Amino acid sequence: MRFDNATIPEIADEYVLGLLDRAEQQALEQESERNPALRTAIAASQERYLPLDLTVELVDVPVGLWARIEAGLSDGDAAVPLGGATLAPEAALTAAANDNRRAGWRAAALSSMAASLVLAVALTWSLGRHADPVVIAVLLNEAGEVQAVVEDFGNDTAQIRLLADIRVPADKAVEVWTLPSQETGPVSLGLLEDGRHHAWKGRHFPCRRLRSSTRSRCRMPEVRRPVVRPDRFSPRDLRNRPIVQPRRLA
Amino acid sequence: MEEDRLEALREDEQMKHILSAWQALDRNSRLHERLGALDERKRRGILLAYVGGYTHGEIAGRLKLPLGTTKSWIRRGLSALRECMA
Repeated sequence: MRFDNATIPEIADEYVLGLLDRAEQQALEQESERNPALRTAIAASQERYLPLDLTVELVDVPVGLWARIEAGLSDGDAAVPLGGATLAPEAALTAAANDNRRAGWRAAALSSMAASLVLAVALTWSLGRHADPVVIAVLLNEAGEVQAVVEDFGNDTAQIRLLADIRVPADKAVEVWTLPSQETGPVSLGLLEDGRHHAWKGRHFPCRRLRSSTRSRCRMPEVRRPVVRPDRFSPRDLRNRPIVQPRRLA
Repeated sequence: MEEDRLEALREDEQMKHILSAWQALDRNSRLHERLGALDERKRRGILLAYVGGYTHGEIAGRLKLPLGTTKSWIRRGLSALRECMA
């Protein structure tokens, strides 16, 4: 693949439309790390087609949904029915993962940090995972049933858990997308590693802190429903998956 | 046989849904205007790729065009949109 002034606009368009194969996509993404002209062309292309993404219709959440979620969070251990939907066992795991009441693990983790760099890296991930989320986005389907929960921990870490019983064929993958800003356009947050859960760090983050020191001042620009897509690069199937209802917790 | 017909109906419905994305755009938007100015085959190719997530080969199959022709139509359509919306 050749990247020069003549080919970059065309390649950027084909990338944004999902017409490159996986090898071409990877080559382009590597090149974009060091090629500002390519990054600019990709951003311009994403901006050009963004109105198509915005034609999706948002889904209203059932009345009282957020009150029930908050009640469930404050209860701690209790499982809370949401919108009439039955939560999968993973819902209970979500609450437990955010429970910081267990004493001892912090001390153990700090000791591990001193022990080795590898453990320090692992601990950083662990702290992010077990902290209270600053923002939770509950993704619903057209019937208002809970499909997944995105948790943003306000420290450059977030995770998504699928709660719905989604069967992913062996040759398919589930990919999560976000829309950090209209300038940036839709950005893939990556594939769900085990088909149900994914944690990530990075600059294309769902939650943008308005003030870094204020945990409650955080907003979720837009998160799109994770989609099952072929295990090849055809990522622009962005319609029919609006669904997000961002919620400030604190 | 019945399954084939059902599959064809689903496919037809999916195609209509994808192509309706253009109609759902704000009528005053530049993208709506520029897509509308394109030849229908170019517009359909772009929408099938962007909205439907189809590959060149899948688009060629749905538009019943040779693969090379499909690639060429889409590239020309993309080029036209770049020039118009620059």
